Amino acid sequence: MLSITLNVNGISRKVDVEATTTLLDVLRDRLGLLGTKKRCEAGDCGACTVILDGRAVASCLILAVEADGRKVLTVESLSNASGELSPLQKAFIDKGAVQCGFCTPGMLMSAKALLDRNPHPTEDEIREAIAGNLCRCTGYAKIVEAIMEVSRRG
Amino acid sequence: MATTSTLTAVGRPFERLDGERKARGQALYAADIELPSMLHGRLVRSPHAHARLLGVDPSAALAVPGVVAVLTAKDVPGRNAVGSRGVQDQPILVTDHVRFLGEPVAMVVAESVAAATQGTAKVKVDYEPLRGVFTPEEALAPDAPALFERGNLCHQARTRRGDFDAARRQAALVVTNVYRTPMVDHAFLEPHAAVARPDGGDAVTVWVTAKTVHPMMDEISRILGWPKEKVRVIAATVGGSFGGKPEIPLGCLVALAAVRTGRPVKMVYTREETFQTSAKRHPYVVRLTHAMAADGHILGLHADITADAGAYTTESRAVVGRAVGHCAGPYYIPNVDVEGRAVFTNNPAPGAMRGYGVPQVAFAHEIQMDIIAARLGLDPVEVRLRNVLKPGLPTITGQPVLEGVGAEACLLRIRELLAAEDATDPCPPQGVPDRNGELLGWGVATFYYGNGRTAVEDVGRARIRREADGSFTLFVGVPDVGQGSDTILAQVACEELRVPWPAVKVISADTAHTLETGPSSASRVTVVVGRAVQEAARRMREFLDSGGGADWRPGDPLPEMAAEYRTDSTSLDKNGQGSPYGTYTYGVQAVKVGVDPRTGKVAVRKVLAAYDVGPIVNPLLFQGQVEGGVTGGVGYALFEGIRLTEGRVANPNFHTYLLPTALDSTAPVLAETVESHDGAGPFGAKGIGEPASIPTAPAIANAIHRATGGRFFELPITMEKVYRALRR
Repeated sequence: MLSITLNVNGISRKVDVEATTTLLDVLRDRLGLLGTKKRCEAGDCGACTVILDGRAVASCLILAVEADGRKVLTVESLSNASGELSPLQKAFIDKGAVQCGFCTPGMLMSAKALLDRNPHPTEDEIREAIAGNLCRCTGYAKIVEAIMEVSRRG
Repeated sequence: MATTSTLTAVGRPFERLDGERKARGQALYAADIELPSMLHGRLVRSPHAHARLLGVDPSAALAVPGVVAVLTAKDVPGRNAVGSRGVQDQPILVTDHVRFLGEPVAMVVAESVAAATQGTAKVKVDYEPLRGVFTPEEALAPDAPALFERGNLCHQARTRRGDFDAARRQAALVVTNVYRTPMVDHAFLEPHAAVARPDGGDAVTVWVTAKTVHPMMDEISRILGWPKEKVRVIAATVGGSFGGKPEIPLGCLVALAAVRTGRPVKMVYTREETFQTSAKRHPYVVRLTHAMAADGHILGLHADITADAGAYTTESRAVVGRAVGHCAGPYYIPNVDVEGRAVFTNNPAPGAMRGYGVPQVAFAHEIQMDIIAARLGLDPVEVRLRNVLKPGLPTITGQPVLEGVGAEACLLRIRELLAAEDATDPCPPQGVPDRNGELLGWGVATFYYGNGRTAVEDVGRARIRREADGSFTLFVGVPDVGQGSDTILAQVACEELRVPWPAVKVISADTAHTLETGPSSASRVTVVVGRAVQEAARRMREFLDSGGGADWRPGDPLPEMAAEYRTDSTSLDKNGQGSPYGTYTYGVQAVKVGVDPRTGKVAVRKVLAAYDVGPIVNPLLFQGQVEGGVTGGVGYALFEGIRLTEGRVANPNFHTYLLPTALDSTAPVLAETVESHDGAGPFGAKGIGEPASIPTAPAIANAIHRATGGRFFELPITMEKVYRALRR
């Protein structure tokens, strides 16, 4: 067992992990943050996307020990302290970007990472940013629209 | 657009009821469910596609720290056979005969997933490998090893009407081609998962990811040998279905393990397990012969359809049953001779997938129509217009098309839209690159799709309760699989109750609280379940309007109304004649492609669609279905396909089985509806789930032909195939 400290959604969390434990498993199994979804465990689908020190990453490909001392943001961080939805979450709902919802948390985190570093992306930049997040329901059009909408208002 | 202007809830683009929960990451899918002292299951799966199972020795696995139990077929107390639609031929754990690679032979139950996985490696299994059959042709050969005592022919179905041979003799033109479509995966992102909790010693609750819960309850009760009342099945949030789910053996196995160990049990399939062992879309070989009059009328159709059913029946009978009735397309054809069959092989068993046997035959009949048009010197839309079904004409099953159907109107609208495109942004002639170096072309495809289950009386049921605070709760047996059915049904209820949106809360898919109402499939929920919801709401409104419930006091039972709706569909005779569906959705898609002549890469540039789908209940969800359906169709057309080697899936993950990404799916999808009045559904609405996807692949194939001159008779039309065709 190795002891690590993660800053998760602004709160410092100390956990003991195996050398092989992934960041995804720490978030889900140890910290109970089930919004981050687990599917392919190979970095193919993007359902487990979180933001690590400002960059969107597939948390199934990051070992927990690699995240030691770093800042992690999950979908649970998006709403504000009083529980109000972020503009990005609202736009996903309003524009119909959510269907089955399984890709939604990862999609939101990829979109947030993009908008944080580039508040006014082009459509191509949006599509590039979410190209690692698979969605089988929507055909992506409404997801791209939702991100564009936030960028226009932001 | 069909009019819903006098309505206040139906026809409005309301946000979905579960949107906020999903956007917060709070929606719990089956794999997210955690219960105290829960155990975890993993399966020992056969490495052989066809084998005798000689013995299973669990002793070494039981010695692995953390392993609690190892279950084999001997531990199944009830009848070890599950299936769908009345055919139960699949064991949840193999008894003696392995029929596909990855079939479960034992389940290891342990304190952790890691211990269970370790345990599976220690279970000793003796097999005697048998020769396998991996194509329908091999399976039907006289010396083929049989999967079942009754042989390898799973099912046969016919549609016959008029005299095809006479039509053929009169024909000015006869066109015959063979079309092949691959096995494809639903590829919903959510894993197959289930959790079971024992409730005392004689009851169990099971959470599944599923399009239907009541049949799952029936299967579990038979496996356990328990009465149904002792089994409660609840759909957790469902992460996509597209016809797939539930994985019946999975739900049964966790229930059995929970009952055996007395503790909650969870099992989640890996992505590779899902690809190797769960249901898919059937691969088809379709041979079509059209007998044509010189003026472009279809005189007769002969069709021969063979589907690979894989190792068990699952839904193959009904899939082939639907295909033989839909293989003509939405055209009037007086003389028809169609035979379809499903054949057992040692491949993973396909099941239901968006379109239920129809995307395969639509690929065939719509390329035929384009070839016929070219041979007769007619415009592709024109040849379709000359044959399209109109009110009063019979389909090939002899069902008269209802008054108010707008199939012809869809074609006329697409013709107008294409003329406008041609005026503003014309494509260069075939084979000539545009200024960007791309070969361009439009292709069209038409389809129709019977709403509801085939040739059975389809039943919808619903219940509405008025709560103490004056709001309403709607109870429906179908899960929202992601398409938004909870929202659609709540809109119907709100409209009929004449209450403001969203005064109706929905509880769906819990066998303890909802009535059996069939699956969330067959494009039936809006139509069949929707009508039951409308009727229950009407009864509630009339009850309240007439003063009912006015004297209600706290402590009294809450006022409640239930209703049932039955379609007026009929069974089919031995020639496949009858009225198998209450209503049909009709439509046309036109797709523009750009082909890079240097590489053969095909990009979809624009999609136009016209639908006869009745009034739209929720335009936002409608557009979502069409965009998602088209994107699925693009994958089917251009790159998706399960590659099998002697029953082993060679591309069992998302880096080898590629799905369309946001970079592949850039074309605008402009969908319109035409006026139509035949809908049996609430306020005339019809189903869109499957119709969204069916015409896309043939429209793309026809567009590639228009752009390049290459004809493709087999899906997927990969870059390599297009490149080779361009070099010829």
